[in-house]
Amino acid sequence: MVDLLYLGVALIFFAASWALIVGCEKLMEE
Amino acid sequence: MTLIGWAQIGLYMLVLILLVKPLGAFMARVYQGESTWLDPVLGPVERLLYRLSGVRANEEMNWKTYAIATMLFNALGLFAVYGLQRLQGVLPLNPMGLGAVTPDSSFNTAASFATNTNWQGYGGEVTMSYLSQMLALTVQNFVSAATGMAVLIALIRGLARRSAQTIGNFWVDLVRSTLYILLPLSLVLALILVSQGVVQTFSAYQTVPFLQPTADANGNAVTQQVLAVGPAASQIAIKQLGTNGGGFFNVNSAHPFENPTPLSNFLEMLSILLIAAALCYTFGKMVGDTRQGWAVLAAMTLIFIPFLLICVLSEQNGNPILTSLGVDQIASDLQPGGNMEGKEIRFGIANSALWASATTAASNGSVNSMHDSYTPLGGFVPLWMLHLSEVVYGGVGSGLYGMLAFVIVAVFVAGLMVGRTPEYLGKKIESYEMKMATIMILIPPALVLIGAALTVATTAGRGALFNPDFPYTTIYNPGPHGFSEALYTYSSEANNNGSAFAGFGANNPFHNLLGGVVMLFARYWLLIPILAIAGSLARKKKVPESAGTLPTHTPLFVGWLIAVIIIVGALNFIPALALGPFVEHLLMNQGVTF
Repeated sequence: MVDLLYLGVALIFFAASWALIVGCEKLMEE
Repeated sequence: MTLIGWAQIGLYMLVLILLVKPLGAFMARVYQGESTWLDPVLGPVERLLYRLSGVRANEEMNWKTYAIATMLFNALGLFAVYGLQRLQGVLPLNPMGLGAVTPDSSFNTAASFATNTNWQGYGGEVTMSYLSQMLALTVQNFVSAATGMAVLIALIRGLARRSAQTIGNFWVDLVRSTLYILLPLSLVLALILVSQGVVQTFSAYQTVPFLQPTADANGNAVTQQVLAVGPAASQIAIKQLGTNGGGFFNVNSAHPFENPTPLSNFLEMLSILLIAAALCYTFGKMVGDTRQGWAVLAAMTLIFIPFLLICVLSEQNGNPILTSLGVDQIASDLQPGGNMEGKEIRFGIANSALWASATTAASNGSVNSMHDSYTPLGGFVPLWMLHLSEVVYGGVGSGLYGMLAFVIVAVFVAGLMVGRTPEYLGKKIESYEMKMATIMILIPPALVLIGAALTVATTAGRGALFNPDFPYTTIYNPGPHGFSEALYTYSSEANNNGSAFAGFGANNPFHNLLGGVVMLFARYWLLIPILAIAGSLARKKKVPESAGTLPTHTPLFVGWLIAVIIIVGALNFIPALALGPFVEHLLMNQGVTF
């Protein structure tokens, strides 16, 4: 159960990083 | 300090600088796909790896695909390291029968090793099985270092190319970094370390009799001890070369099984800065102007040496309170003198202070002495090196790409001052590059200060010293030294260094979670913007040099670049440093200790 918490934190981080990549791409296209 | 101490420091810098060009030139050949003397042996291995993994080596990626590939690879590595630690109790190569690592420590260690930080809240010999040390940690030592190098090379291609949509292939750069650079160097260094006495074995820990029996606290006779051993040499080599820093044993390279002799100490210390320094020459070679690489290397060295001297002299002068009590702290043939607390007698002041400065300049984080025992100003130097965002040599790859972000800012500000369009290596520096560079420069300080603030402002952060009912202790020292410990912890994690003021208790759920998250942001939220900069620069056309172009290889630019780096660090951290090492130094001179 606790493992899911930490794995979830990691997954959320990588999802946020994906959003950063998309954000940087959108900024570049502007 | 003795003449021999200065000579050792001088020899170290001389050998480092002499190796920059040959290694840098070799790495440039590797990354440009030119033939090297390793091709007959490693070429077939490289092609086999591509065939097995389905990588098309001649297909390049745009910056977004490159970034996604990097993140996916690193994410898989993080989850693998987490899983191996949690399952190590049922996996082979565990002769000491160590159980699963706790979830919070596993998360922190996984984040730490994937991000090239190698912060170790655990003690290696009592926590990690041999399989975990090798398959989880040592593998990450290689691939995290290779990731940093790959991203740097992508940026260099962005600077070197004109009107291009691609910046390379991440898988090719990763494989070439590992196969042609990290593995050969690590193999040679590991063999030399074994020859010096660094342990390399799968045997269980050894029980050995004391030469002179002693007694425990209850008066019972103690006649033997357990000596931890293991496959250490293979980890130590890449620990140093890849600016990882995570030791096999808890006291890292202060342990005689990790660092037995003066030669092992010299080579391990050299390895800390070697690749990072040589990459400056690689950069110059790949952009077609080696003066640019030498200029960046000069900026790094000119920042490093004065602060190294401050550290050495502070430690050599020792604690004035002890002098006032009649303790002889003067260096002589019979003693190293100075502040020897936390230092190995076999290394003395010079080699301890040099290592401390190099390891924190380089985002390495290994130690051969305990930074927590340094004098206030002696400990300020490693802390300050962290606060410069690890761009003074820095990590392999990450140091130079961090430095190039500062170069972009320096060029931009200089351009504003003289009223010209800023350009670097023929590429216009525009608002997009500035936005990305600004993100890179502001994230580490923000993480440092937020982490340190949460530590000192929350019950969970402060721990039992300030709240006796709390289940664990984090800060062990009251007063400014305790603040320095907290500040150092998050300075280290937020700059992916991994060293510690060892008086701080970080192995608890609060700091394992917070520190792990900090390390992830510190690594990957700099890596993504720098790849975006690479993609943006690659698309641009070359602007011909004109009378208004700011030369970026001159002493004037080097001085300006140094000023930008120092000013940014000072603005971010002088208030925090004033609360820690500065006030501790002033109080020490008043006879107050902590």
